[in-house]
Amino acid sequence: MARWGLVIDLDRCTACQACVVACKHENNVPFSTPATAAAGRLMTWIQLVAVETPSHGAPTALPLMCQQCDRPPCTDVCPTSATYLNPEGIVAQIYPRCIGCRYCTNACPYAVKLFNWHTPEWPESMAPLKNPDVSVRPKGVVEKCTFCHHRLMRAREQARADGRELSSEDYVPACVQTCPAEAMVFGDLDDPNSEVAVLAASSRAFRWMEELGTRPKVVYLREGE
Amino acid sequence: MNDHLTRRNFLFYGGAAVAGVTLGQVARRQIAWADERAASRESGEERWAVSVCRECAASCGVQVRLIDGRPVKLEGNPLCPVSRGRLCAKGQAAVEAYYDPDRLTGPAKRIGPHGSGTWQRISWEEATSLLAARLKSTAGRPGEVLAVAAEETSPAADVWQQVWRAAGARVHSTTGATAGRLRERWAALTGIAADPSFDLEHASYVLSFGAPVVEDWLSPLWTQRAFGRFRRSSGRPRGRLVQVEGRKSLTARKADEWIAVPADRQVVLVYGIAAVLLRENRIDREALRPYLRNLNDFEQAVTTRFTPDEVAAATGVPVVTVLRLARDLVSAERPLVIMAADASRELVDAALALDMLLGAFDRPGGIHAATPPVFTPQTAGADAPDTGAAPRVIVFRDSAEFRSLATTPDLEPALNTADLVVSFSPFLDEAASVADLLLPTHTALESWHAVVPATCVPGQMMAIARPVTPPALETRDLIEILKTVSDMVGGPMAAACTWPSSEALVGDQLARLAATHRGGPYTSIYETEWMQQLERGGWWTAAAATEEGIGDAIATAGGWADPYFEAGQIRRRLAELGGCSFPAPPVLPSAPLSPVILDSLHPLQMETFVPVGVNRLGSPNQPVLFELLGQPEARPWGPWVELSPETARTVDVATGEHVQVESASGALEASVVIVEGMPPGVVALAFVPAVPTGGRWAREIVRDVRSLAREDALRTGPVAVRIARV
Repeated sequence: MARWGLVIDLDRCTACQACVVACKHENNVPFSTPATAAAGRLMTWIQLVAVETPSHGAPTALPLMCQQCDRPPCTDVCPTSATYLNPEGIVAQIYPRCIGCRYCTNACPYAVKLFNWHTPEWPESMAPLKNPDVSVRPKGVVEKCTFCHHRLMRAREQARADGRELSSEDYVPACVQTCPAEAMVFGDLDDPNSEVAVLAASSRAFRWMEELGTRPKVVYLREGE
Repeated sequence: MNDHLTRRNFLFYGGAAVAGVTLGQVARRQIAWADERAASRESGEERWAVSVCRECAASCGVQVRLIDGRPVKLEGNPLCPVSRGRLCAKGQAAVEAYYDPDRLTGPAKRIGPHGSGTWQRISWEEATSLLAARLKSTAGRPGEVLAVAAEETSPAADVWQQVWRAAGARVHSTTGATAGRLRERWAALTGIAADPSFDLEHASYVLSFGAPVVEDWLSPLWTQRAFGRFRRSSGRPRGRLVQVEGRKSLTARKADEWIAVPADRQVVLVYGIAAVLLRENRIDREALRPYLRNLNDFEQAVTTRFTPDEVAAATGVPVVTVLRLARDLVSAERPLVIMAADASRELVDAALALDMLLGAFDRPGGIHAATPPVFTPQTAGADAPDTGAAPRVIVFRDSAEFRSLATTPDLEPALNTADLVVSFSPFLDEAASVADLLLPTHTALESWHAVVPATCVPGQMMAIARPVTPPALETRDLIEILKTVSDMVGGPMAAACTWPSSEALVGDQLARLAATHRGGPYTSIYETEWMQQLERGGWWTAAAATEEGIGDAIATAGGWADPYFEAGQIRRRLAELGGCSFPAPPVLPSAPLSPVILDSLHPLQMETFVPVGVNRLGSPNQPVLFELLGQPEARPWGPWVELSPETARTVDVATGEHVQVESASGALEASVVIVEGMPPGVVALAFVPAVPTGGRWAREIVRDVRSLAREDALRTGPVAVRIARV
């Protein structure tokens, strides 16, 4: 069974935010308003954050989403098992089980779990824009990046229909698919021949806040030589 | 146009326009109705169709995911040589405009005073008759009509030009920030009537003079990918980027080194570097001799005028840095000097000369001459002579360009005196809000496309696609409208418009392409093929047996491409011409650096910059783009101001907090981003315009940067301001 992981090469990343838009449309993440943004309640599963990275003096814009930790602090505190680590390493979120206690949003050191303070709304004319593969989260539950898990399910169904094994090429999240600078690489970290595994083992690789022992499966490659 | 309207009050009334007009509600109902029609099948059937992104001149190929016939998401078209399956933020956001709840439902005429927002829906017959009657009364008198649109190389743009010229119009085109902006200086140097094409991907060292490489340079998506590969490609060393720019832009932050030099002084640094190369004899003179006539004169002029000390004094760049840049350039394997598309002609001349000294022409990681496009504009007729009289009728094709057009000096007064202003935009945006007659055309997803993408690869391309979804509202095809109006007017106009529709026009273009027996439909093997073309000429894919079949294959793939180009074309052409001559370098400027008068009340020099994603009228109907503004440091949904740490200390603010920016004519609240290395005394303000007529999301932007100064003043030069903590 694959262990899905993502490598983001910060040397290639241009902070263009194409990934942010791709994610928003793919996962039915509602639009914000100036008021919600000012209240710190901007809904976005992937967002640029300014961080000091190793061996780079100036702040770097780091695309940050759920780090899909192998030791996720959020799952330990969930009283209803609404969030858990699935066998393929994706930190899953079962919305109907979520009681909105927000323990997980507090436990997550990356602050990438988002609570729905309001019922998500789209203008009437925009209803068809929503991706039918992804459910819209109601008010009162927590949501976050799922590595576009619905794409994995579709890819698996397709592979089954074709009578073949699922391969890494069958499945990429929306952010990786669109990245103009080809800075994102996705695949099976357990396959030593995969590009993602090779890059994750590079000397430039680091994991954000890895000192906390969360063992993220999102790996960044630092800028510079 | 008797009602007095100034730019300021039209902006004010604009807000009321949307609120009072019923178009928005009707639009919502109609889109919902179209949705119901599509939903009646409710099979959840998924389909993919190709289209062309029209958010900028790059014209990237896109794939549209349709569920039950309704667009759900845009992705890059993997077959397109420009996008190769990728898509930028703006391109993806285009689908939001299709679903804009404030879209125009059909033609309308203004019935109240200007800007009052009182519109009346009318029939297409009435709308086209209104325009035709007014055009008849101008009787083709030269200069009575002004037609404005963004420049594009396409059959539709040709028809637009021909029709309006036949009506005696002056046709105004705005140029995008593409390689086309460099065409004139490139042709003056090399004698080649085609765009320069910069091979950023294969360069090993790039010295950029203000080129917004990671923002939107020439063909933005292409450049982004080229940048990624320039930085990291297996089998070769990491590319190094040095950015010379006044502001610490995104590119400057991303660069390995940022050298702060204002735009008007960058030319001095270029010649300073050239002088070092010549003085230290670091160029291959023998290799240059067949292609350059005036090396000796140039050397004499440059080495005497641009001594390192003088260059350092004029630019603020230390002598040691000038020497290092020159030596780094020549020691790099494949150095490349690039410039912003809107760089001054002197800077373009200087940078191209430096490229030639470095042997960058016709080599990988250097500059190639793009092949002249297979499509050449059929520009029949000429602009009517400018009699100085104000136009009576003004027509806008791309209202999104209204903002940049509005900075042309004669447009704004003309808007106040014209009898009839017509907008062809599908949206109720700024141009539409000053119009008397709205003739909404289809949106990109509902349209036929045939357009030559902005130059980015040396080969040739034409993006071609069919509509991916039928029109949701009572909009019309642009060519159809022009044909109807031309036939009503008769005379030269009717003769100029021979095409009944865009479909016919694109069909004809497909037949022409098939008949060239060159190139073929967009293909995934493009890259491999392109590399092979370096060695052998001509490429023709037998996609189908018949020309109709080939046309169909092209439209299905999303476009036509011919990767063939003549390797070594620049040198060959220069050899034919007996070599080129570098223009004489300018005299070292001696004027003081600050072109703005500062005083004790307004002691700071404020520059403005346009953030990525705001170039289409503040993206009034693409809410996601407002969320991207200023990330990761500033608050989204509004303007932000960049301060040096020293300036920030004087008012005791930190990144994320707010300041009041005050000029002599107004004030504005903006969030703060502190930028290390920014010169003290200089502040940079993001140009995020309030667009009160631009739909519900645009109306959320209430802090208009234009309250600080007139838009043209903001765009052309610094403004004296002061800041205060909020």
